[in-house]
Amino acid sequence: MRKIILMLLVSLAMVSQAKAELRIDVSGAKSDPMPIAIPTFLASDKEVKGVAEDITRVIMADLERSGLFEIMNQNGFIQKFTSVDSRPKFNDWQAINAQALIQGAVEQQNDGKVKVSFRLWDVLAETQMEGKNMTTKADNWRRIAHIIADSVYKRITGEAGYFDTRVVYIAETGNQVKRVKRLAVMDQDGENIRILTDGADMILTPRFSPNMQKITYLSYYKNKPRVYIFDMETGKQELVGNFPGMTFAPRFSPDSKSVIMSMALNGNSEIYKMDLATKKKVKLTNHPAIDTSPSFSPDGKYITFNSDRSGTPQLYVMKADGSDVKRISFGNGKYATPVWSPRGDYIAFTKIADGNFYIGIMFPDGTGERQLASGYLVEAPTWAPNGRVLMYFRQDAPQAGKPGKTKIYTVDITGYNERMIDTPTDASDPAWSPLLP
Amino acid sequence: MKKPLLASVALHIAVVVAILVDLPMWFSSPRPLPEDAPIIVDLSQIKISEMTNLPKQRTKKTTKENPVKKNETKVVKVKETPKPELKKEKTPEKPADVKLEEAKKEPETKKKPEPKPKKTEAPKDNGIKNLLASVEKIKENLEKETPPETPEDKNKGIAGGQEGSYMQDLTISEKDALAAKLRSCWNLDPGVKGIADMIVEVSAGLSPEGAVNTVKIMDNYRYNHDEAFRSVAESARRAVLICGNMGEESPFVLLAKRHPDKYSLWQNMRLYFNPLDGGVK
Repeated sequence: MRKIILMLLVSLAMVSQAKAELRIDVSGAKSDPMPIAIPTFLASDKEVKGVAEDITRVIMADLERSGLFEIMNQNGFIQKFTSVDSRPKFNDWQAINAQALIQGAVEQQNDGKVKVSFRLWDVLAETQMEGKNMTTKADNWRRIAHIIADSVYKRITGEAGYFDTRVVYIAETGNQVKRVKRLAVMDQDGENIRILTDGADMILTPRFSPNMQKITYLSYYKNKPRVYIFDMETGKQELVGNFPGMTFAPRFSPDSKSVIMSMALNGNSEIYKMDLATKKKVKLTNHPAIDTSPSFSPDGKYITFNSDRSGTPQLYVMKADGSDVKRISFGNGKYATPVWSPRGDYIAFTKIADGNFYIGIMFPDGTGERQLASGYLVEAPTWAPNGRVLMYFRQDAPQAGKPGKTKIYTVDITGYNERMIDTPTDASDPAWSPLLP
Repeated sequence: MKKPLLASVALHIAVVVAILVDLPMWFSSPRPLPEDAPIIVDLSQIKISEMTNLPKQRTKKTTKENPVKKNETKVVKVKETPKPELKKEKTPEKPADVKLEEAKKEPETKKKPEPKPKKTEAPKDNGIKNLLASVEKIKENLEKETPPETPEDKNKGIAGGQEGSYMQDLTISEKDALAAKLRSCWNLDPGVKGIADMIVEVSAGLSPEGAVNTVKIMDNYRYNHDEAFRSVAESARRAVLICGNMGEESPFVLLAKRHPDKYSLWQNMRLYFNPLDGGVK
């Protein structure tokens, strides 16, 4: 009975409280980077001081490059931490207008490993948002930093991070006549570059498998383009199927079990799907026009591709079995290289219109087309695993008879924050990996 | 079996009581004064509270101007069904009207021991006379008990000065100014997936000085199950706190300075943050 009375009273209290509230509608917001304070991680002793500083620096660089965070100058910090477990004096951080705070430490362990701890604080709400400990070899400090940056990014934005990822791309050297194109891989921030092939054969359009073990790409063998798979662990490459014609534009299915690609035979290109285990191939399109650049939706139910069946290259979507083909692009110009976003909400593409190249996105039904980047030559969009950032390459216009530089760039899907990835050589055809396991 | 039944009954009762308390307009269809109906006037449980918020001066003036006719309407309504609509009507007699309104809200309080008027069934011709007699009686008692009015009292009103008025809202431009300030405090990542379908409801509790005491995200379920929503909701909460930390420039402090008399109106705010309606810049 008491409970019933209590419930009645609570109900009445809630009703009367709701009655007294003033309603305000706030429509729209600004989108400035969030000020975040990152004091240098504490080090348990001199041996790990460098590691602590390196981790802090990489976290700062990751978050700053995302365009969503403003890294605050450490000189303005009032509170000096002595332990990762000491609670922040929030007034000190509010006074300098910090909105988030990362507090961390690196401890040397007896077994030679290091323990890295961090806490993420909401300075205004005065609550801890995230806290983790990781133990690893000190050599892994860079990955640890990326993992921490991903945790912070995810907790604050609600999206998975993309810092602990790699990018496979084509490293280009030599002049235009004798251009050497090698397969290379690097961290998403341009660090840890490794060249995977010797440049004897030209390599194009590399793509990661979703499980990160393999890379599929187009390589010319005896002047004939063929699709290969390169095993990252063994360093071996394998021809994908024994097709009678030229094969190109390969891409893995979401489950990594098959590859879709184009095959040109007797002047006609069609899209095929091949099961990597059984080598069984299925023809998905059947049209006299050129059908190419297929890309699966993240759920594997649909495929977007490029076809000139309407007279000019346009984008299409069909079911994974090749049925129910629908055209989705209707804008002015030619469309190419469609890529379905990992989060499923957009299709990225290259567009050529009015003598310019564009990187754009649209919804899978063809609505909401937006251009994110433009230039003399911008091409080959690839998505970050969180579907939030696009990477592509940009070639500058030639000057004084010399070809322009070719570099890899990233841009946010909002169209802001275009950044160049600094590579030692020209770089093209990037493909973004999923988050590292 | 018994407990769930009891709980179900309790909930149903709660809903019914809530409806009765908050939606008295259901019963507010104006009923004509039945001429033959007996008028029962019980003014014994009357208390002047803050919420009445009627300036004493004004009450005095209206006392002289208003004819008995208005009294008649009010009293009858009080007798038949207590309705909040009465608050909006112009109050004629200073003590009588004020008291009548409050009698609806807090009938249980007995602060002024007055002799209970007998519930008499007045004949139709004598209804107004009886009413007047009751009112006059209370007026006399009040004059005896209430100390003489000072000039301060006159300006003070009951709960917020002469300009104070219960149920009077902020102006549209005041609300717009508050919303604009909150918008400038709201920093949002516009690339969040599904942002177009998000409206974040935040409840804020303010002190009389305009300090933010509490900020609460209302959709707790979605907050705990949808990380994208959580991100947007936290940015909205942050907006309230950032605005609240602006010192003298805080829109809440400015509001408190401008309308200290309307504290009851703005002490609790329900804020609806809509990311894309006004655009993310």
